[in-house]
Amino acid sequence: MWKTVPFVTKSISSSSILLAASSLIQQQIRTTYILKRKFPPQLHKKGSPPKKLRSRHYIYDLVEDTNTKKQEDIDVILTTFVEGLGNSGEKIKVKPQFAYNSLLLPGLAVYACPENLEKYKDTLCNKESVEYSSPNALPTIKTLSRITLSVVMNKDHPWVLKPWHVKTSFRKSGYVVPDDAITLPEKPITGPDMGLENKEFYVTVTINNKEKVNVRCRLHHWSTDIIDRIPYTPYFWEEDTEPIYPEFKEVLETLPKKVTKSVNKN
Amino acid sequence: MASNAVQSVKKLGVFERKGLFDKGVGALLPEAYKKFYKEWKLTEPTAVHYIPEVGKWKRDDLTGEAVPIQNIPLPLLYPKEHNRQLWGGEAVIQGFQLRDKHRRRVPHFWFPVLKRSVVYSEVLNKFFSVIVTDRTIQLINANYGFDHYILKTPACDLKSLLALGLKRKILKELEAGCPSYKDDPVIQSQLAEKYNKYLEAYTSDEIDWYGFSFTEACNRIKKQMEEGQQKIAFKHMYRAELIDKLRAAKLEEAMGQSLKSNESGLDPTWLRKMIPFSKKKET
Amino acid sequence: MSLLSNKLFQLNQLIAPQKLLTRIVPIVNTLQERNYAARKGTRERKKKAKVKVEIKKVGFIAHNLRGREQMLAARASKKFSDTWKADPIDNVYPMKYYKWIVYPFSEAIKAHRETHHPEIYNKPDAELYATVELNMQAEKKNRFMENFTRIAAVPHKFDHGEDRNILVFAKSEESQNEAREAGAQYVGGPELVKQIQTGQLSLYDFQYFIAHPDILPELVQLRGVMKRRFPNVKSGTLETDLKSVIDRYLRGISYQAVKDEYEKDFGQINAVLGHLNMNDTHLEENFAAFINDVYTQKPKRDGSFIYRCYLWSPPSSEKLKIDHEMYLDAAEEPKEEKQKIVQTVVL
Repeated sequence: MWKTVPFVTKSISSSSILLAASSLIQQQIRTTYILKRKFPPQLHKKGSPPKKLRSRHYIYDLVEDTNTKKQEDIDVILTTFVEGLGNSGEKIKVKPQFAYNSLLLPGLAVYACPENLEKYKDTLCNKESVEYSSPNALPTIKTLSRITLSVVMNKDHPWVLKPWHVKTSFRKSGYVVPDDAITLPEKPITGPDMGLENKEFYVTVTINNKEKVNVRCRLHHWSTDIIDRIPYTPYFWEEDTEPIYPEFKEVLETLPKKVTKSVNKN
Repeated sequence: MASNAVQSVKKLGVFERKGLFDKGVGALLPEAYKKFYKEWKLTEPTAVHYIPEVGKWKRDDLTGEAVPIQNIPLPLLYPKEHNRQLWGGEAVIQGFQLRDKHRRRVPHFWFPVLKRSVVYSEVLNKFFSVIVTDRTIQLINANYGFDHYILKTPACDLKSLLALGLKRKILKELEAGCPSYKDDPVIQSQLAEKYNKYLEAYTSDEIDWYGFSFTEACNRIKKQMEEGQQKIAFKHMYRAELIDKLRAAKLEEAMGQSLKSNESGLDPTWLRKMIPFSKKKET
Repeated sequence: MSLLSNKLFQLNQLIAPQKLLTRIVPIVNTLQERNYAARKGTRERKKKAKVKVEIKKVGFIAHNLRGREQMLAARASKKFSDTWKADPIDNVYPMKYYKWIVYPFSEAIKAHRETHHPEIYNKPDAELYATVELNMQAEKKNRFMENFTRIAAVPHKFDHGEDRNILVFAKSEESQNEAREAGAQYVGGPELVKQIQTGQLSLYDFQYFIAHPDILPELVQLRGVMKRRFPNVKSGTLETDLKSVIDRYLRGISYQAVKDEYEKDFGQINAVLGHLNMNDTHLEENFAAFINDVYTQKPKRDGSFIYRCYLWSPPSSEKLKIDHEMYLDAAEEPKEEKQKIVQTVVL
């Protein structure tokens, strides 16, 4: 079948860089069925055509089905900020399917070939072009701006609201926020004051000393004595309420309200 | 030299069958097309469906006997649909499975897993919705782009007419200097820098004849030849000749007449009377 | 024509065809008779093979218990693993998308003290609980450990709030006095054995029985009555050093490992380590003693015994994971890695 193979390949390789270029490709990529003859055909004489294949030479064993094999992650360089992945100029390792469909085709990223690495080297070093401090900053901002944080304070013991109270409330609700990232409103909130019960205020959280996000908080009073304790209201974040001070109203109105996903609430 | 002589002696008296390019329209096809055809059909493609053994010889595990390695590729099938898709070297394999030692072999076809996806050609600045295999996408990723993949891969691996046609188009576009980006000379120069190395492998004529099937190429050459030597119907030819002749004759006649009239001074109406079938009012 | 066929031909001619028919037909119609018995036991065997299909009567199942099996089967595994999650990279982040934070012990207590501060929950003396999740697989696959209840001796005593009645058997005067000094309410010798035998003293009034080996000959009579509660060396109730045993039983941490009813290789222990207002190091030492006592129950097999360990303190719902392997005496793995983890934790 391939009588002229040596001749053709020679003519091509001598005349062009075509085959030289193709040698760069890792041609060992096989994403298909890889088969093997169960009965190998007879050897043929040197220089003569291969012997005729008999039907037993068409019996194949499956060596590997590469369609079901896990593909290795590939490197791409982002050309813009992509949420949860990184800033422009950043080299990231992602799954090949995701990279091709969601990053390379829409033009959010380019292949990490040597030319592109050279080209985007400057954008990576240039910190001014960085939009967010980290790829996960934007998702965190979105989550924090959606929640209503319940700040539980004591009903009997006097207190003035401090960042560590809010930090503890954040940690109880499953958010890591250090003390120094929390900025309370300038006007101090003191208690216990049942007039402030179930009223709203806001705190400003600074992520990585860069991104600022306002978080809606609601004040609740808690008594150690079970008789004095105020019963818990389910879905308290869905009930409308007032701000603690009228100055907070402006900021609180800009924050989106938390929506409960589940329909049946009994 | 000796082996050549032996070969030619062997060939003596043997009837040599005429090849595809030795008879009929095929004989008219240019050398450029023949080169492409060899690259496409007569080159051994990359082993996709089997793992070829490397080296020239191997030893038998048990006896230690040296046996030559002869990789005989699996026969592959290419249905006609594949010409409109990009299979990246994969093909249909027809064969048998031996599922159990004591059972008869079972016929089986191994098909490539096809899916519709999109490929983007930077040179043409176009997205194509095509049916591909996973291997195609992987090759595109490994080559850092569809254009690189198409331009780097030889025709024997591209196989399908769609891929080959796209390769011709891309090569032509590159030759013309990317007219699709005519508003942006910066991108044009970038593309030239990126892809012009692939142009070196082809002459302009070879690009022109790249990626046609044999039938397409035959039709093309026939059409070209017809256009080259335009046939004119005899009637048109003779009429034109006659008109020319008449014109020449009239000119001569006119010349002669003017001389004569100057000489004799006869009345021209006299002559009319002599013409037997002229229309004449008879009262 | 052969000789035989010749003869047959002659025979046919001799016998009239109708006569022949009458003779042949009855023979054809009779069934084949068997003048020997069927193989012994065949019928019995076949009868046995037919298994009676018994229809099981299903009693009443309350509506909230129907489909419980399926529900349990569909339940997510309780075995905890967050290795697939990413490490946090920011200083502010929602915990659920990342690996659990591993707190150093003192930091975890500090965090709990914050929530129990007078300005918040106002319960500075709240109990500090530790939950230990166990791999209850025994030496062999598909074999699981039994639930076990133990008491761990702790170096720093605290008020556990339980009533623990102990009965101590000792023969010599010395050891009886030693037991009394250690705080046992009921101490006695052979006369106590007789009282129990006569029924003057009920065994049900006591939770634990401790004995000195010198009284063992008399105590053997009670083996049938006490059954599994009979003092033995393995459970640590039969020892010469009565003081430490009594001390452990009166003031140690009592805990119970309970297997999950569906996931048999998953067990859990909830135990009180102390109170939040205790010293940090005291709590830590208590925890170390407790976790080592749990680890003594590890079956002889490869793989981990403890999945994870976390501290919690009601009424706060916070659970703070700590690295238990740091405290294990008999840890096989080198401790360098664990110390690294502790250093990287940022509270």
